[in-house]
Amino acid sequence: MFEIIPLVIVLSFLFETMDSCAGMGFGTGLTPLLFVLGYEPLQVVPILLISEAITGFTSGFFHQEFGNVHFKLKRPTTRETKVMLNIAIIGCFSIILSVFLTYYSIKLDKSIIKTYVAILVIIMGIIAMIKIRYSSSNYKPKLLTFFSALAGFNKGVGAGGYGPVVMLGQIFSGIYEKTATAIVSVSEGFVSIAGVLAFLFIPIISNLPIEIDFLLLPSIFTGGFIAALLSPYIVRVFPNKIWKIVIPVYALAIGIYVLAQMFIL
Amino acid sequence: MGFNMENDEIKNEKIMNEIGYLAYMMDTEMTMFERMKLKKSSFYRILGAMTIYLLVMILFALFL
Repeated sequence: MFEIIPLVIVLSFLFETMDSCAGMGFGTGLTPLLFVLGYEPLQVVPILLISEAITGFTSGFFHQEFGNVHFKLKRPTTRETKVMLNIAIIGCFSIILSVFLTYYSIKLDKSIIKTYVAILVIIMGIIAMIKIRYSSSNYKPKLLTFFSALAGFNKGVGAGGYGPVVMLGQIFSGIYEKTATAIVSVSEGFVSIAGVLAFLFIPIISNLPIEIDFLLLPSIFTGGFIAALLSPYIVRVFPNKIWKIVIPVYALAIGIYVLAQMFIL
Repeated sequence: MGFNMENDEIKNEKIMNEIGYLAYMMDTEMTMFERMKLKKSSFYRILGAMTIYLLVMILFALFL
């Protein structure tokens, strides 16, 4: 069924713009809003993954085109490429575990895990805001691996918050903010492909019915794709000192938003 | 910053490999107005992406 829903296009555009500019928020921000609008999880989650896979790579391509990052697949490759692959591989394993847990309805106390992720993102956002003044730090690969694994664990247990933890983890590890955004975009593209494949193959292997409703796909894809073209340009034009402020403030807002859903909505 | 720019004597190739080098150089060596200008090839790539978007939407309209 082909249907264009203007409200979904606008929401998808806004959240993908922020996701491609600040490296976080598409899934965490858009999913609960679509649930509030009355859509079911199986109408939303796989479609967001398909859309995020396309927009992640599109945004990554244009981040490279506009000079925010330098990916190179041929050897000798760049450190940016290695960091992206490191984050992507951990994320892929985590999302497969997450889909597996969803299909087999393994009961984890989601409210406790989501509260923990929200508090983690808020604390990381506050630390990042405090660190704005201290701009100079060297690249710390071990710290980055730790944050990738932590974000992967959160995603693996289905609590979300992958983008904020990976993004702020990169900044804590000394990666330049503009480049960190580009790295997150591409690695989220890989992670989303793994998620889509898991959504298709886990039920096939387990003889369970595949339930994907494509109603929202054209609208989410439209908003997300336009944002994925525009955002790398916005990242290029504005100076890094703007992103140093925007990223932690947005992370803090996302953490509070997740907590608010838990306790108010 | 993810690298030490004070080390000017490091070979170009090695600096190019540092994380965030391109974005950092763009920020320090170009004004915001200069960063707004795009290469011609970038416009063609944006046009190419929009064409792919239209083709995908046609496929959605045909098969969904």
